Amino acid sequence: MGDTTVLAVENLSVEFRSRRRIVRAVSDVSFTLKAGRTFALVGESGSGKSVTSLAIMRLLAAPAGRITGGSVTLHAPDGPLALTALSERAMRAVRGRQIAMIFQEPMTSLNPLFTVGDQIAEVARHHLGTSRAEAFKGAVALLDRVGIPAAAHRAHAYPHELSGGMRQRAMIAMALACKPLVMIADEPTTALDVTVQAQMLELIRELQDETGMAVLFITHNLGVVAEIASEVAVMYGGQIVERGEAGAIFAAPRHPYTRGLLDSLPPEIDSNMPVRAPLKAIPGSVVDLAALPPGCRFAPRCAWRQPRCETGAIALDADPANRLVRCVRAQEVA
Amino acid sequence: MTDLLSVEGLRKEFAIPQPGLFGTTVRFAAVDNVSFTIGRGEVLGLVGESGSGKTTVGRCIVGLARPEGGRMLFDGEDLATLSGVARHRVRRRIQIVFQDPFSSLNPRLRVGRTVAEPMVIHGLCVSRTERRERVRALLAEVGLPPDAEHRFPHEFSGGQRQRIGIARALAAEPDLIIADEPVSALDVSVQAQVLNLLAELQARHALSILFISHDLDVVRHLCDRVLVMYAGRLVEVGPSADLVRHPAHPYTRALLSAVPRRTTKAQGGRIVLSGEIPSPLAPPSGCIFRTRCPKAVAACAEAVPPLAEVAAGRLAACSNPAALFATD
Repeated sequence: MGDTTVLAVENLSVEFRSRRRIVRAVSDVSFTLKAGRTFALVGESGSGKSVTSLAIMRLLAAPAGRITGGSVTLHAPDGPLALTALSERAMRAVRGRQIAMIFQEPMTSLNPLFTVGDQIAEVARHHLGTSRAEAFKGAVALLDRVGIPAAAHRAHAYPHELSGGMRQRAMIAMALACKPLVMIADEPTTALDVTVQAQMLELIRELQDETGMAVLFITHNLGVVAEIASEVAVMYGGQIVERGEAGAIFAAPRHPYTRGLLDSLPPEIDSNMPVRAPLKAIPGSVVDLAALPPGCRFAPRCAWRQPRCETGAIALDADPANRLVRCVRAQEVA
Repeated sequence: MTDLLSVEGLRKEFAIPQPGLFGTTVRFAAVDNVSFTIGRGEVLGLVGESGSGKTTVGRCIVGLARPEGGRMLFDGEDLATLSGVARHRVRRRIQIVFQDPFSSLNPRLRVGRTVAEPMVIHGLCVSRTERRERVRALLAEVGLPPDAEHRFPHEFSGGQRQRIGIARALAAEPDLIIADEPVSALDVSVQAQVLNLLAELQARHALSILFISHDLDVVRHLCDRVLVMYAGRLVEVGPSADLVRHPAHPYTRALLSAVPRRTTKAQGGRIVLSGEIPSPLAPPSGCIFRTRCPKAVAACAEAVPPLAEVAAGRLAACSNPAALFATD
């Protein structure tokens, strides 16, 4: 199961245009999702990680945002589907059915006027034509599966009557309604407390084992990545700067940004570092996507910078261990 | 030397409208019988999950919320009973830095004005030129460019705005800063810059800081001691390094085990708590944590366990002696 590619993103680029400027939000991003595996996209705000997921779902705000290059291919059981070329109508049949998505703030992604049971049931009714009563029964079963106590009763609750953790469970139940091939989770635990976050990661892992779905997990939290993902792509300024096996990247980052990010974090909780020992902060702030430098996008903040970094674009090169790094000095950084 | 701030039996209640019945409200305690001290030059962490009451404790100390019970002695004076001039004088010495650097700055004031305002309010640096010089010195001290004073908050990034908020707090020359999740809204790569700045300023000015956060890595890094709150009550207090390595209270243990780790695994594995924080409107009898506690025994339902010394320098509120420092 582990090697079946279910979604392939190839050289994806996204731009947002306004009269005054062009924001190159995503540049030349490629990765594949495999059945039963979790792939993490990590980055800070403005890195392009969320826009990548919206582009896969073809949910970019038109007309400002559009895919300017590359392709997204879904390998459905009845043959590959080029999502970037689908009509809006055909795309609607994919969303929620083949690819489901959960968001950071479940309160704003649930409809406040309908009960959670009805909202979950609607997914099956819309995509599978299930009858109202059947679909509601299915919704109760899903709520029960995601660990909502007294599911039959809670199915009649409105979103505001549930806690943040319960709402996120309801969102996950909705995502599972049509047994999707892919679940995209965009910062699904960021608004939650750590103990609830731990419950949620556990739940996603269990459900993935049961259903064999592929998960695209988007987060800025490197600890969460280490816990849930087998593969990770680190994004900066709309590009993937490093991609590879999660454990290997945490053990030995090769890109100066990845390394800087890991070094800048406060030491892990059981470390012996003295209190308030200075952290190795990355100087400056995140690159402006409307004014990208000609060379490496991280160069202005990079301690490893050389003159050649600031002239031309840097390629994402593979090393012998199949790690991709966008840096001319990758071997020295490690 | 005496403590800078001593909080005793703090209680803060909120009233919420009762569903369906016109005009009636129910009261519940968001902070219930919380006692602790902050030493001079000490950085004290206050951790807890949402709804634990940690922010409310901070707001009571700064004077943004009026407690229903307890005393808060600041340098010997009771903050609750002070009024008029005396209150104003003490208030200068306690400043706050907020979580959201976007909503906590007045968008219509130039940064120089924002930073000068505490000086105007408290009559520091009375002459204009003096004030100007001080604003420039403060902006430089928090690492902002010299032209920042003439610009508006929207021209700055999140990290820079948080620096402005810190400069504003320092302008009043405080002894105590309440920092309520000051780095939670910042990008990871910027967080380290602001944490380093706070540590530097703390050392330079011998500041006392109450650092409120849900991020245990950050608290371990920055704080000398830690308070752990759960559902409005203090459940554990201790030196940070010792507390995170050997948590006494079952809740602290569960909380620490839930922190995602990059390289290590939690000792004794992860304790996944079932259920949720109990409703403050109908708290369980006895220990507030007993409904979710893997170590609960019959005694836990009988009385609210007091915060008692469980080891040298360590306090915990737990009725089951066998649960303390348990490693399974």
